[in-house]
Amino acid sequence: MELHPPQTLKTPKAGNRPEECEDAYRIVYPFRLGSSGKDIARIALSDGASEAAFARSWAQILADDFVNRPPDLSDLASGSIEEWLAPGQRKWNRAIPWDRIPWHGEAKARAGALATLLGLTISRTAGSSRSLDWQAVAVGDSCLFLVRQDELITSFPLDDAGQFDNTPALLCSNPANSSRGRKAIRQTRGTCQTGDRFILASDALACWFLAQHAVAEKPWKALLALDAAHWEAWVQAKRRDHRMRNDDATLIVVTVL
Amino acid sequence: MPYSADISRSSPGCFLFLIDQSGSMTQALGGQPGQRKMDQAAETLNRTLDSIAQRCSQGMDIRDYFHIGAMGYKTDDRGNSIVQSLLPGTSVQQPFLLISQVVDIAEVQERPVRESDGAGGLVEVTRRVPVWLHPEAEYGTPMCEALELGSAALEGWINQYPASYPPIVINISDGMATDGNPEGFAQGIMALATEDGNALMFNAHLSELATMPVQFPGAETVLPDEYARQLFRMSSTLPESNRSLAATLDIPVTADSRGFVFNANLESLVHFLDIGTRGATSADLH
Repeated sequence: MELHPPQTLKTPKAGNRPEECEDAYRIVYPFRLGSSGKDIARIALSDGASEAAFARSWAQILADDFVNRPPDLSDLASGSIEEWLAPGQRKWNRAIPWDRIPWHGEAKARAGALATLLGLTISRTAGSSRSLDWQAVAVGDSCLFLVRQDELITSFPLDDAGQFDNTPALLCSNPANSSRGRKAIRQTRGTCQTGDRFILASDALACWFLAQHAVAEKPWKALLALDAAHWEAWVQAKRRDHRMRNDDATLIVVTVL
Repeated sequence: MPYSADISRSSPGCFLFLIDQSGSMTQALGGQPGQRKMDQAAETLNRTLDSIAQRCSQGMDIRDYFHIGAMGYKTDDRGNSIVQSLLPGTSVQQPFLLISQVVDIAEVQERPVRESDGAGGLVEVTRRVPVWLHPEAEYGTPMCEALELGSAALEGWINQYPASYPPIVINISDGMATDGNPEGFAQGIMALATEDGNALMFNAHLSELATMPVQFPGAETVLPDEYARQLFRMSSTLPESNRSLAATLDIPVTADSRGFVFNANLESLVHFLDIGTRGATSADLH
């Protein structure tokens, strides 16, 4: 079994420039760990909180770190997430131009940047060539959907459009302020098979997806039909019709072949 | 649903501050020794603008989510009204600047402040504090005229941004208008509307009475005098979307709560607006 190269689409909040988009992702596929490794893909999506300062760089650090030095998913509940976060927090801190921050950014920078993290690892199933294992970890409201045979079989970590609000638990770049995000870590796992599609979406898109699904629509059909040429116009139309909040939007699709 | 318009650079919000600079503002503020009403008026404007700027800050730069206007009102010694736009380069007809322009003209002072040391204690540190307005007060209170001129300026703004979140007027005063009954003029502002709802009129009442401060009351009966009750009647009921954000910040509000404070902190109002994902720690910034 293999994966189709992941498709990624990203657009900023209307009114913002592309480089101001605070969604970040990192994908490694196919993953080559050497003979002992069984992971074949790692995918991370992180959505920097728009009200935080220096959130874009924090989101990118989280996504990069998940892919490049993944946390031990078997041990997250016991506090190892803080150890995993620490190098990234130091990296973020070193990159902040502390001596040049204007007065209006000072308090926010001291408080730390905030971002979601949705990490997906796909690996070979021992003793089986007909399925793959997957594991996901999430903090915040970036969502993973697994679609099989035209049905939604997993919605993680949120499964209802009513669960989205503007104060999700997030991971913080300041260790002193990271307790809320730490307590909000969610994990799930499963197996996938040929034809399955993983859809990773940042919050505005995920909220639209779940609202559509709640009224018996199949929102993945529209998403799977999108390509780079049509994505921007599609998002703009949804915003214009008030079906999608004006926020950064990212879509990642992974297809199991 | 009203009051749900996205606030972004392409669809900005708007604050218009009206500052009472009349002679009665030289009186002592109730319950706060050494503090005059005009000191508190300047402080309220400065702190509220600081809050708005911080909410729009991305660290190094500011996103222009809001347009800001500020008008002061007083009279001369013969009772002629003086209503003037307080931001440089603006007029009462066109009082608005982008929040990034407002940030650029701040006078930045260094002040000692006491902050949590993270271990249960307090530590004194020096922080930069922006100042736009210094206390000033003389003669009469042409509040009616200020409301009328503010209303005209807002009409122009609404024509430019008809789909935006409705403009918010913040009147900082001790009441006691000397040019008539201001209630009708406040109603005139509240009758202005964008496609997203009616303009919001909020009042910060500064009183010499040393009674308990009141924040976002739902009925005028809890207020100690007629000046406070009149400014309460001139205040909009908080929209549902504001109230739900207030609740997430642990600020007690009810369905009847109005945008009115009596000798109390007003800048929390700035956090009742949704401009994007705020994290767990944003609420702790102030």
